[in-house]
Amino acid sequence: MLVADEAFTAFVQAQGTGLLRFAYLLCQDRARAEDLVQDALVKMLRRWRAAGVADQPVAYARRVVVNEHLGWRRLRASGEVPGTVEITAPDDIDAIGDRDRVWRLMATLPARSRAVLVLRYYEQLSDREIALLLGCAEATVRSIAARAFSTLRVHVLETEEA
Amino acid sequence: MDAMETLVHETLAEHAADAPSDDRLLAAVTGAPRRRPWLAGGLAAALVVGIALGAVVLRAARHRADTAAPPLPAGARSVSYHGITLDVPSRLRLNYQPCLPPRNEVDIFIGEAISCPPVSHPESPRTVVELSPYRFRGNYRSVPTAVDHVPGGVVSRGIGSAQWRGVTRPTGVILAPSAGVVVAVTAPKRATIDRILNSLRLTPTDAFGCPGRAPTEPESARAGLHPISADVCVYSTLGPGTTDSLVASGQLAGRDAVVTANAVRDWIDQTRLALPSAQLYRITFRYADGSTQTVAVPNTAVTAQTHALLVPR
Repeated sequence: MLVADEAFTAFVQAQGTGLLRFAYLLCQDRARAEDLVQDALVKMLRRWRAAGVADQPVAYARRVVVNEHLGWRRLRASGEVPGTVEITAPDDIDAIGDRDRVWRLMATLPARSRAVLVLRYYEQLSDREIALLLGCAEATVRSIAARAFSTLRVHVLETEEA
Repeated sequence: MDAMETLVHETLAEHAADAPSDDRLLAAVTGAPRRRPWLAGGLAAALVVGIALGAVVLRAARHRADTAAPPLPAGARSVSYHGITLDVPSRLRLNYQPCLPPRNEVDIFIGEAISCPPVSHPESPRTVVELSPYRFRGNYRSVPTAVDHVPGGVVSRGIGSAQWRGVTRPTGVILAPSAGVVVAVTAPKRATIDRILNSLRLTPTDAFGCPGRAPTEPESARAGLHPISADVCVYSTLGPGTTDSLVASGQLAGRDAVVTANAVRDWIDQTRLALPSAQLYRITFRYADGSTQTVAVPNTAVTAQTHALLVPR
């Protein structure tokens, strides 16, 4: 039995949408995104009064969501199928086609790479903040991002030239 | 940001809107009903909850909601093609690949006549829905479209005018690149175009549990004797690149289900003829004891009666 106090309720109401969007971009699955955020909030509520959680709740929630996501991906490693994205419509590309292609390509990236891209280009975090959140060095973040972009560029260029 | 970084940023911003709603989020975590922010301060002081139970109950409810089919408007029926579902007027009939090469852009034509629509009715304004592979979207380049959110994803949608065999008509267009589909709609009334366009949703499976593309079945199984119902998915097997498109689906009950099961059993037991067939049927028979059995057979194995029930022509 736990108590959700006023501050926690206000936090969920203010940040719920943002956390769901963040989780959805990480996993590209609506049901899984709901599960990730619910699990993260339950963990947060259990530790709400612990030092640091209520002080920086958004950062804490993001960290729990990312860790849950990466842990879940490790548990079901067979679900990771890199390089199997089907790219269609190689002729003249409009903007929605480009974004759709990038979205599908991102689904083929390793979960950690996608997390870096989402944190950097959706949450607008600095590499230092991303490194703190993921528990790695800044150089590692830059390296992961560079590899991800290399993959995206190769596939997009291949499609455009086809 | 360079061009690729900008593209990634735009992609994420666009798809973020597809995330699930937070309507039930607080209730999922606390078991409490959702409150408006201006009420939250006064009401949220002491919510004592059983967290695990609340989360489990909500997830079960959510999964039920996800699988429930939306109510169909009166006088309409759903049609599915690859990963999309549309509600169209029930009176419209359906044809596969109505235009022979070299004008074979249209995979499925749903309309008031069964033929290649631009040839048969160049001047008369009739309700016509064309479903085509995404690569033919250029046919409707003159129709301005804008990115729009629909249930299940994002499409590009708009209404303008397009040439139908030399005749300019009001035309609604939906480009759904994630499904690889272009939808073009023309009708005498603008409201009809709007209704059809607005009914589109991106659906991995349709209301009868049929995947948008034919799954690979290991082998046809022998149907049981007395099914109480049969969920049927009909897939086109004609034409390059269109061999696995879901083109019709529905549920047969009572005698119709039993007749279909008998036909499937007879085909498996006696003939197994490998005749060229226009469609593949994937049928899930349901039995009174709650068990199910899925079979995959060509349309040659299924009676004309079954075909007529599922594919109105």
